[in-house]
Amino acid sequence: MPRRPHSSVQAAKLFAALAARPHAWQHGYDLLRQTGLASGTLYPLLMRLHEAGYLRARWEEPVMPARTPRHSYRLTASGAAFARALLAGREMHSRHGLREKLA
Amino acid sequence: MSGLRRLIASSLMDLCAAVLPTVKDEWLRAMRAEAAHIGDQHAMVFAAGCLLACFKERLRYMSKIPAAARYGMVAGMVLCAVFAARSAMHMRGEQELTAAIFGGVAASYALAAMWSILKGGRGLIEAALTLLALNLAAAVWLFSGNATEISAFNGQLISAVAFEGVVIWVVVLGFSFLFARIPRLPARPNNSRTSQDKPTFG
Repeated sequence: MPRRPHSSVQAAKLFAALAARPHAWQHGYDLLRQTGLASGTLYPLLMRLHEAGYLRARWEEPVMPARTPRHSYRLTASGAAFARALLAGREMHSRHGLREKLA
Repeated sequence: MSGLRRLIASSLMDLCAAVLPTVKDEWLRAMRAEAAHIGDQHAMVFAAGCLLACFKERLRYMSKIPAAARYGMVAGMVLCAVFAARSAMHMRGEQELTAAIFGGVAASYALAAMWSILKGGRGLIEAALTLLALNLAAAVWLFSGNATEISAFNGQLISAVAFEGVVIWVVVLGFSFLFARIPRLPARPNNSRTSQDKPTFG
C-alpha cells in the first residue's frame, strides 16, 4: 500500500513543532532546533509542505542586530487540520502498539 | 577559525545556488538568510545540510527527463547488458568467478533498463544512484586489496568493470542533470537585484 504523503517521522516532527505554536511565525533554524532535524531534511520538507498548501511562508523584516530579512513559516488551516489528523493517528498507533506489548 | 567556517559556509551556499533549480530561488534566499543569522559554529553544518537539500531538490527535477533522452540512455544500458553477457559467456574454466561477476553486471544493466522503462525518469535516477553506489563500493573494496583470492588478471578485469560502472553511472546522472526539464524563473533585469538576494555572512 503506498504511504500517505507527508506522513514520515520527520514530517510528523515538523508538524508537531509547527502545530505547537499554530499562530506564531517560526524561522527555519528554530524549527531545526525544535525538531532535531538536519537542514538537509528540513528544507526539502518545508518546500514540499509549502507546495501542498500546508504551509505559509513570509519574509520578516530584520530586527537589530540582524541586517537581512528572514523567511518564517506557519501552518495554513488545511495544514493544521492535516497535522491534527496525522499526530492523532500516530498517537493512536503508538498507544495501540504499547497495549499490544503489555498484553 | 570562525572566519574560515564562515567562508566555507558561504562557499557551500554559493554551491547551493548552482545546484538548486532557479524556480526555487526564494528557498535559496531563505536558506542563505538563515545561514547568515546563525552562529559561526553551526553555520558550516547548516550550509552543508542546505547543499544536501539542494541536491535532493535537483534530483527531484532530474526525474523529468525528456522521453527521447531517457530511451537513449535505456538503449545504452541494454547495449552494456548485451556486451557484459557476451563476455560472461566467453569465459571458461578458471575464469568462472569473473564470468559470474560479468553475468551479475549484465543483469544489473538489464534491471536498470527495465526499471527505467517501468518507472520513468524517477526509475532511471533511482537505478543510476543505486548502481553507482554499488560500483563505487566494489571499486573501493577491490582497490584496497581485499580480493586476495582472485588471480591478478581477473582482479584487474573486475576492478576495470567496477571502475567502468562508476564512469557509466556518473555519465547517466550527468546526462539526466543536463537534459532534465527544470523550470526557470523569468529573467529579471540586472538592476532589480537587491541586497536581499544574497544576504551577507557574519
